[in-house]
Amino acid sequence: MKLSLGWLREFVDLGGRSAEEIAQVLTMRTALIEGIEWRGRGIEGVVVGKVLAKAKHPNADRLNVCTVGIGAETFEIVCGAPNVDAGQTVFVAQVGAVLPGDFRIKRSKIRGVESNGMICSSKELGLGEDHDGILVLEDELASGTALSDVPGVVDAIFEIDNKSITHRPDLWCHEGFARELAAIYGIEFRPATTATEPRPGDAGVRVVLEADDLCGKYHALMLRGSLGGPAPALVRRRLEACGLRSISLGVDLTNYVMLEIGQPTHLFDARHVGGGTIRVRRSTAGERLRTLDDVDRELPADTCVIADATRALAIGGIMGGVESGTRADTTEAILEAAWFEPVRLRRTSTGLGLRTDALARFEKHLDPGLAERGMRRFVALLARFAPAISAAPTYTVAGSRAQGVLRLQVRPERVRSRLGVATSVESMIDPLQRLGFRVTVQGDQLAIDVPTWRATRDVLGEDDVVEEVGRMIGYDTIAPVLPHVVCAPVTLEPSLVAWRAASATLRERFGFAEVLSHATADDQQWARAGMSETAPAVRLKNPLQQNAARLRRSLAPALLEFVDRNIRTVEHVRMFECGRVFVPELGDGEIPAQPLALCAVVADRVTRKGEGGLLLRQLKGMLEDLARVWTATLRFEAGIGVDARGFAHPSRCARIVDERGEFGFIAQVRPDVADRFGWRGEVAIFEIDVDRAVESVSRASTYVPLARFPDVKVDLSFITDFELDFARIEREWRAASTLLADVELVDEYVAPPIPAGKRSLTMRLRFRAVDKTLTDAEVGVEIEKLKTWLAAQGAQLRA
Amino acid sequence: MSSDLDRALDEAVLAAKSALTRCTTVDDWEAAATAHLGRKSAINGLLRQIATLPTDQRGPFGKRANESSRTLTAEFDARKADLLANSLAAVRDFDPSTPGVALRRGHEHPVLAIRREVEDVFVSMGFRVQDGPEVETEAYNFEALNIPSHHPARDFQDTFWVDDPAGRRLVMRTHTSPMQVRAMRQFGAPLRVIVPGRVYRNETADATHESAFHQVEGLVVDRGISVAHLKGVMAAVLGRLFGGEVAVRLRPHYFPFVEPGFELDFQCRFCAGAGCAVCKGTGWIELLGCGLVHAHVLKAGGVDPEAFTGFAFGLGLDRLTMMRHGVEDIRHFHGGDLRFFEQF
Repeated sequence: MKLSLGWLREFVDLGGRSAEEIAQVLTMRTALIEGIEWRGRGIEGVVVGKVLAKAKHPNADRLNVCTVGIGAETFEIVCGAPNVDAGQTVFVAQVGAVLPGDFRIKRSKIRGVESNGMICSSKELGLGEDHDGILVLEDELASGTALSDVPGVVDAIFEIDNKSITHRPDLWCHEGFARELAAIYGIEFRPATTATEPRPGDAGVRVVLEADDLCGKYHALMLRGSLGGPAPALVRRRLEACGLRSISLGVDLTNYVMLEIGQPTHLFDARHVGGGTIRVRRSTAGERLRTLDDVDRELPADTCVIADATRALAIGGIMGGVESGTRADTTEAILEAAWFEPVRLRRTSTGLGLRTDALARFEKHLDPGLAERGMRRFVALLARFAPAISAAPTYTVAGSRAQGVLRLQVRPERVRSRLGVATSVESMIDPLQRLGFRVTVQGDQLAIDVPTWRATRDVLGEDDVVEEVGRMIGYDTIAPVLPHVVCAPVTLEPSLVAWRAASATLRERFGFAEVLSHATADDQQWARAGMSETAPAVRLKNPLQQNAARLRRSLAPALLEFVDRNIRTVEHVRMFECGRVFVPELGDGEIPAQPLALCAVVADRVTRKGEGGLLLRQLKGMLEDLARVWTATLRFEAGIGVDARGFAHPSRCARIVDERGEFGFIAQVRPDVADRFGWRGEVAIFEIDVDRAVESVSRASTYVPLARFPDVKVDLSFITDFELDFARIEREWRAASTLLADVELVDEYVAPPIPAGKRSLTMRLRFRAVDKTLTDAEVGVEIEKLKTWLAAQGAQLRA
Repeated sequence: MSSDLDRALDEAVLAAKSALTRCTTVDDWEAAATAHLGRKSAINGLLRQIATLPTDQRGPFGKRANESSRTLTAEFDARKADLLANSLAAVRDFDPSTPGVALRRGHEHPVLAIRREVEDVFVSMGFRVQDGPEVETEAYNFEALNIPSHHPARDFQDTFWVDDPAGRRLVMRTHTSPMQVRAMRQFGAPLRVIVPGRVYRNETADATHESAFHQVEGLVVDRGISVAHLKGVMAAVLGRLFGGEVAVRLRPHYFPFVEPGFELDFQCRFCAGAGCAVCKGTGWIELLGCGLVHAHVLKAGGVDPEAFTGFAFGLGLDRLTMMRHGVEDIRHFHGGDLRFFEQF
C-alpha cells in the first residue's frame, strides 16, 4: 500500500520532520516502510500559468501557439498537446527551468515561431505516466504560484509492506497512520471530519437485507449532480500518487474516502437500480455477473450479491458490475457504504480468483461503524471538492451489526515481565490513550477500553496491549538479557546424530559431495530409474508441474539423475543425500511415514577391464565403515531391494535387513539401465533407512587386551563358487579352530582366468594362544582342519 | 694361535677401513657395511670364535676384537650420516609451488554447513535439536499456530496440498513452526529447542525463489521469558555465527502465532550500517521473524500461558548462505551440479 506524506499532514502536524525520519519511526514502531518514492523533486522554475489564447501554428498543423500569462507577464509558447485550450490553468516550465532528469528548458524556435518555455505533461514533471496531453490544473490556483506550493504536487510516497499490517484493519488508510504518528510523536491528531447531515430515514431507495450473515450493515444515500466528469486535480494527483487510476469524479471520491479512512464505498447509477430497491442477497445457483473489469464471472455459492428487484448489480465488498456503475452522463447515483462479513468474503474472493482494494480492507475485519463514517466523509468531501453535487438529506440503513466496546483488564506487571523492561504505569497509559484506548486505573490493574477500530480482530487480550506498549516505548529501548535456565543435558535426536556422522564420514573419509534433491519425483525420473508406475506415493493436489505430483519414496531416482548430470565431465562421481522420503502405506494414521533415508552413489565414467564389480565392493566397504562409525551392525542378504527393483543388477545386489525385514539395499546399476542413460562405466548405489540402521547402535566396547604372545600369520588362497559365502566360511572356520583369532579378506578376484561363476579368495588368518607362543607344528594342525573343511565344500586350494 | 687371530683381526679392520674410505655414495656404504660388519663378515667370524678360545686367550683377544668392532661401527655410522647429509644438496627435485598430490576431498552442502553451525551454537546454549515431519497436518501447520482457514495470513504461504485418499487434510509444511506445538506436547515446559528442516512453498523457481528451502525454528518456553530475553539470545547467537558483536533491531511485524511479533534485522556487515547494495541502502538486513509465543499456541501445546511464556523465531538459511558465498542462483542448492558443490 502507498501513503502520501502530504496527505498524512492533513491529519497530523508533522512540522519539519523529514520523510526519511518518519519512515524510520514508522518502520520501528508500526509497520515496515519498504521505500520512499519522491514526486515533484528535482524541479526548478516551473510555475502555474494561464492559457490566455490559443492560435494555430502557421507552419504546422498539429502545433498551437499559446499565449500564457504568468502573473502580469505573458509569453508565447508553442505546444503540441492535443488537449491544450484557452482558459486552462497549467504548469509552465519557463526558460531556464529544470525538469526531472536534468532536462533544461531553453528559448527555442519551433518551425519558425519562438517558444518561451514549455507547457508540461504529468510525465515531463515526473508526476505520472500520462504523456498524451498537458496536465490541466484546478482553476483556482493563482498564476505565478510555484510548483512546490501547489497542494499534492511535491510529495513523498511511502511504500508500506502489506504483510506487516495484515492484522491492522485500521492501518489500510492515511488516517490510521496519522494516528500512529501522532501517538509516537505525542502531537495532535486531527481525524477526518464528517458531515452531520444526512439523517437516517426514507431516502428514496429501499434496502432489503436478505443475507444479514453476509452483510451486517448497509447504507444507501442518493446523490444528484454530474458525477461522471473529472475529479479535481488534487484528488486525481493524490489517487495517482497512491497508485490508483483516476476514473471520474464519483469513482475517484469513493477511492479517496477509502484511502483516507479505510472504508470502501461504491456508487450505482440510479437509472440501473430497477424498482428503486437494493436487495442484498445470496447468489443463486449458476448466477453470473459481468464485473467492472469486463469479465463475465460465475458467482460462487454464498456470494453476497447486491441486486435490484431482478438482477445482480455488484459483488458485495469485492467489485461492482459493469452495467450498474456510474458513467459520463450519470446525474443520479446511489452511494453504498456497507460492512461485509470477512470470512465469507475471503471465500468468495478465493472462489472467484479475484482480489481488489476493497476486499483487502473488508477481509481484515473493519469496524462496522466505519461504514456510516465513510458515507459521512463522502458527503463532507462533496462540499470540498464537488459543491455542485448534492446529497439527499436522509439515507436508508439496514442491518444492525456493530462493534461493542471491548474492555480488557491489564496487569502492568505482566506488561513489564513480557517486555523485560521496567516501565512506569504512566508511560504505558499515555501512548495507549493517544492510540484511542480509554484507560482507567483500577488498583494494581488497568481497565482498558479498546477502540472499535482495533477491537474487531487485532487487540483482543492483555498480550495485545503488551505489544502496543512495547512498540510505543520502542523495542530498541529494551536491553538484551540472557535468560537464566535450568542446567540439564540436552538429548540429541539419534537420527540427526547419525545424519551428521554419515555426512562427515562420507565426505571426509571417502570424498563424497553432499547434495539435496527435490521432494517431488518427476515421472520421467521415476521411469528412467525403472520405478514402477504403481509404487504407492504421496501425491500433491496442486503440484508446480503435473508430471511432478508424487513425493519421493526413495532418493535413488534423483541421485541417478544427478549422476547423469555430471558423469560426462567428471571421472569419478561420488554423491550422497540424506533426506526424508514419504511412504503412504505406513504411518501413524495422522500423517504418512517419513523416514530419514541416506542414499549414496558412486559412478565411474569408464570401468577398466578386469575391474567389473569392484566399484560395488568398494561402496559396500564404505557403507560398512560408516556402520562402524555409527556402531551399528548391518546385515546383508542376497536379493534385490524393493526400491532397487527397477535398476539393480540381478546378482550384484543385496538387501539390508534386520529382524523386522528389509530397510535398505546396495546394488550395482544393471548394464541395460546404464546404457539407457548412456553411461559407459559402472554405477553402484546404496540407500538405507537411517532410523532403522541406528536402532542397532551399541555402546558396548569391542576392545580386546593386547596379546602377550605373538600371532602366527598365514595366507590361504582358494577358488570357490558364490554359493559358499564368506560369512559361512568365517563362521565354520572359527568353530573349527579355537586358535584362529582373526580372519581378514585380502583379495577377491572374479575375472579370467578364474572361470565364470567362481572367484578366487585370499584370506589372511591369524592364530594366537593366550598362554604361549604357538609352534609351526601346532599351527599346521589348525590349518589342515580348515583346508579339509574347504575341500569338503568343493573349494579348490591354490598354491 | 693368538697371533694368527690378532693378524686376522688387523687385516679385517684394515680392509673395512679401506672399503669405507672408498665409499662415495650411500649405496657404496650399504655394500661395504654388509661386507665388513655384516653377519658374514670377517670381523663377525672372529667375534664368534672368541667363545671357542681357551680361557687364558679369551680375555685379551675378546677385549681387543670387541673394541675394534665398536670403533669400526662408530666410524661406519659417522660416515653414513655424512654421505646422507651430502647427498641432499646435490640435485633439486622438488618445486614448492607445484600443488601437492591431492587425496579425494568431500564437499559439504553449503546450506547444510550453515545449518550445522547454527545447530552447534544452540546446542552449546543447551537447546535440543529436533526434527519434524515434512508432510504435516493442516491442524499443526495452521490451526494450532492461530491461523484458521479464513485467515489472510494464509495468502502469504502458498501451500502444497496433499491429495490424500483417506481424506486427511495434509500439507507440505510451509514453515518449521508446527514443531513448536509438537515439541511442547512432547516435552512440556520449560523447553529450549531448535528445529532445523526443509519447508515448502508452492512457488515457481527462479534465481531468488525456490519451492523448497531451509529454516531453523527456535523455541524457548520458561517462566518469565521476555522480549529482552529474545533480544539477548538472538544477539548472542548471531555474535557466534558472524563473529564479534552484532547489532540487532526488532521491528514490529505480524505473525499470527506470536504476540508481539517482530522481524529481526542485523546491521549490514558489508557497510557497517552506512547503507550499501547488499542492504539496499538501509544499513540493516532482514534476518528472521520472531516474537513472544501467542497464548493460543502455548495452549495448543498444552502449556499454561499464565505460568509460562516463551519466544520463538524462524530463521531462513538459504538466503543467509547465498549472502555468505555470493551465490547468484538459489536453484543451485537442489541442482546436483558438482561444479557447484566442488567449490565448498
